[in-house]
Amino acid sequence: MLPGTIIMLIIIIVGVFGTAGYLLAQNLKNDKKSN
Amino acid sequence: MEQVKKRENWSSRFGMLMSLAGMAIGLGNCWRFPYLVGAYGGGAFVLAYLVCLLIIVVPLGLLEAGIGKGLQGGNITAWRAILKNKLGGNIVGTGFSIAYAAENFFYMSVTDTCVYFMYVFISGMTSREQPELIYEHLQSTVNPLLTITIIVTLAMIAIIYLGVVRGVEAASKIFIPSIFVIFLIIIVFAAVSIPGIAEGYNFYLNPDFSQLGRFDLWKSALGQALFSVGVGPGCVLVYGSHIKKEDDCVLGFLTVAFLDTAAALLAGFAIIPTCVALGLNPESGSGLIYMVLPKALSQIPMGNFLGLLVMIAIFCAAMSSAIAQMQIAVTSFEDGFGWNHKFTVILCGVITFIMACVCVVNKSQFDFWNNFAGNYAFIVCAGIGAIGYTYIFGVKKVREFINEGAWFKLGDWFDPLVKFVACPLMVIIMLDSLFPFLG
Repeated sequence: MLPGTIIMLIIIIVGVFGTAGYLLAQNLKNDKKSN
Repeated sequence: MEQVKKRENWSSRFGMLMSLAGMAIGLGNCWRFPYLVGAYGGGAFVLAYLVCLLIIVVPLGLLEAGIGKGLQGGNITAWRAILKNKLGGNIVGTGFSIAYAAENFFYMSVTDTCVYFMYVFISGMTSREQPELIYEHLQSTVNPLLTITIIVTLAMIAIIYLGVVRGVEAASKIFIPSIFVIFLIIIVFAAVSIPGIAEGYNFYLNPDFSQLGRFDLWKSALGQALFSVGVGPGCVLVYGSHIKKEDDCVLGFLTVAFLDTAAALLAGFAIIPTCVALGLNPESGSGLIYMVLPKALSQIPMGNFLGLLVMIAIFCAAMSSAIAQMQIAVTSFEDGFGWNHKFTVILCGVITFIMACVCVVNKSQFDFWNNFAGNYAFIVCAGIGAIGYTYIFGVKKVREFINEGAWFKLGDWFDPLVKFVACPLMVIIMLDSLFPFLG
């Protein structure tokens, strides 16, 4: 894989999938608290 | 005196998230994003998409969600408050709702093709006939598509008739997780079974920086990001209006924006590298899913099974968005004009049903509504909305709505970001869509 591909892969995995996972976890934590 | 009706709110945060994600994740992610990535040369488009998402779409989406939550009403209620004029609010709010609901006219036709291709993969037709021929034959015969359109449209109307919690929320809780699971299965399977897949990843992700100077690439990336997240014709506003006033809309909207982007990127991961690795042209435009992908999958073991999974994922995405498109009009008319739920669903359902059938029978109608929704309605509504929320209603006032009960409070920095960056860029793109001047 080319260096540009690897950098984009890191941006996507950490920046997009990581953030989405973190935010989803925060939501579920809040959901549990309010119940 | 206006009668104050009790509005239906989401039953839980997870339900709200899945419903909002259902609104956002649709054909834009599974069908449009992969073919635009292919058409604009791969990685450069992905990079431009992410930039537009963060700088323009997320700030404007937060404004929409905040207005909806603060005013607890749909498009018509919101525009009456923004313009401080009942007639003006009725006209703009109705226009926004119709612009979004009109997407369903052609959307149903793409959805029924997807259902037909499920049958194509189950029957193993791709091993006997070229996918292009199957697709072209299908486009020239009306009966199977019309039958599927009738069934799918009636199912959608039934879900909306059940209401926000029992219908929209319950359906989204099934559709959305299914999409993620299916795309992950395909990506893992393709990564281990297709030789040369790394070449496909290079095409998909490695940005060609020389492409980033193209204005049409940025315009398409922004249009796609608006279309995909659902910012523009008030869908985020309407879904935000079902969030309780004391609840958090920042966390909810940000989660949905990132989940939507993750779904689009996953669809890209599942489709683009597979086509490139198997030597097929990913720059084939809107036929990528129905013509190029089946051809690619027919070359690998268990290709029909994977093809069926892709079609199920696209169907789930299409249905959840189709529900949202009609729900926007239903909520806006119920709130704005005080119509009862049954009457509003039947009225919107009958119009959608007739127009969806017209689009199946008449291809020029399909092209007209596809062009209207994809190229004009979203961008124009997003531009007008940005002006209304930012400069007329006032970004500071909306920020107060947004920050009430928020996990992450937006500071003073948010106002200049919207006033001087996101909104002006949005207006420039809107004007260029109407009167092309930037090339």
